[in-house]
Amino acid sequence: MQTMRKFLLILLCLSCCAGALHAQGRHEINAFLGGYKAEFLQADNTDFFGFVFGNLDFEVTHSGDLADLYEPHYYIQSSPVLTLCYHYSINSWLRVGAQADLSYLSGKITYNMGNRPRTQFKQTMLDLLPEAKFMIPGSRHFRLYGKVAAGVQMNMGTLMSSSPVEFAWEIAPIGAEWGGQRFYGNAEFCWGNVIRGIRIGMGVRF
Amino acid sequence: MKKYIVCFLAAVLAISCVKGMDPDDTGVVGGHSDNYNQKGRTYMMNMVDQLFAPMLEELEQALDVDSRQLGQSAHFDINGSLQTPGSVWKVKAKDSALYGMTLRCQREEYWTLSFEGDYLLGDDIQYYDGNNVYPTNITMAVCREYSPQDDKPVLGWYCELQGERTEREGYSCTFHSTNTPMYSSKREGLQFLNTRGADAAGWDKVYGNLYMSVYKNKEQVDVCCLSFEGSPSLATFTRGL
Repeated sequence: MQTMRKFLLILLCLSCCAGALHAQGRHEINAFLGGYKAEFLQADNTDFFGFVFGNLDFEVTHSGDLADLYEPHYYIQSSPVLTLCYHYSINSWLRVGAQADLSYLSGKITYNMGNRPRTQFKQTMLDLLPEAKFMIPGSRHFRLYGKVAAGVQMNMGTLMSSSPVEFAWEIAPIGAEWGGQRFYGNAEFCWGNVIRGIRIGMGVRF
Repeated sequence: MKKYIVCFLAAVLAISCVKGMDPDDTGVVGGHSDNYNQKGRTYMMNMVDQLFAPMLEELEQALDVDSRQLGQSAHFDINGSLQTPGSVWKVKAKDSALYGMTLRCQREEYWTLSFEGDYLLGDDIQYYDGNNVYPTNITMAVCREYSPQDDKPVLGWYCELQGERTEREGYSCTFHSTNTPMYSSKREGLQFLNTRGADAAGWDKVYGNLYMSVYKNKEQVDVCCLSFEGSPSLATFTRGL
């Protein structure tokens, strides 16, 4: 966890330093790291900070009432989501493209009462989503944007999810790009069943 | 230009190999232990410890106030002697968890205790949200009897109770001890037998069965029984009846 945080800080610094000025290309490739899979939020061992930063240093206990006795309990480990995007600039405010996301979940489902057995799972998820990115006018070195994407999620392994292929969607209501015309850094807040939370990335235009 | 793209993609691949991607470093598997059915036993024991026994304590306290014939009390709303059939007392102390509980004398040595309101079961410090307070409705018929034994008589409380509790996510439960009327010669209710003076808070022997039916969205999902045969710590919990 500490290693990942250091890495994200280094990525942020590099993205801020990037940028010789070049003519802006219409193609861009963007890589991100961060956020957590939506399934992870079902976990009994997470909290708001774990949702945002992945800090899971303590377990959240339940209230010991009837729901605690009879409902399933999820204990989940999750990797951050690795995302790779490609966009093509249609015009100054619209870019279209696609994203691919890779992540890993493992854990167990238990019950406090009853004869239902404990279930373990190890699941790798690959999401493929066409997407549209809407740029808000700004300066040459800083712009805000929003993004929407919809596609499929393929689940592999011993599944926590019920289906090997599921509909996937994501909205990034707010994102920011900074840096030069060719290399830039960006960060966005995402919501959907692909990823939830903040992810940080770097990109190149050509 | 191609060099830039190759370097960039190489960096992306390197990122994927970073140790921070190891799921073992990104989270902690919850330390929840598999205490099969133990929580169910604890839940029902909490009912006995934290609801039934305090109700009996209120009755003991009321009988003590009544015996001193004070005529008034900061804790109870007094209406005649609690030994007189038909008299009804009420807990009026707002800081009491059983505020609003009524105590009615049915006949000599026989009372009905009723409570309806939000009630905490469980340890509110132990649990994360500290809010295990739910609407609870209970009626307890209580008979007091002294059993002759060697040096001194042993005080026994014979309790027949029924009630219900509504909790979150559609869960609710009903509970009862027996259907045998208390005034019959055969007492099968939950008997609190205490050999430490006349204090229900110090009960150390309990006999009888407490049954609980669990519902989710009004459909029965389980029936449990907590069976006492003396020492409370040896109570037997069964479910799936």
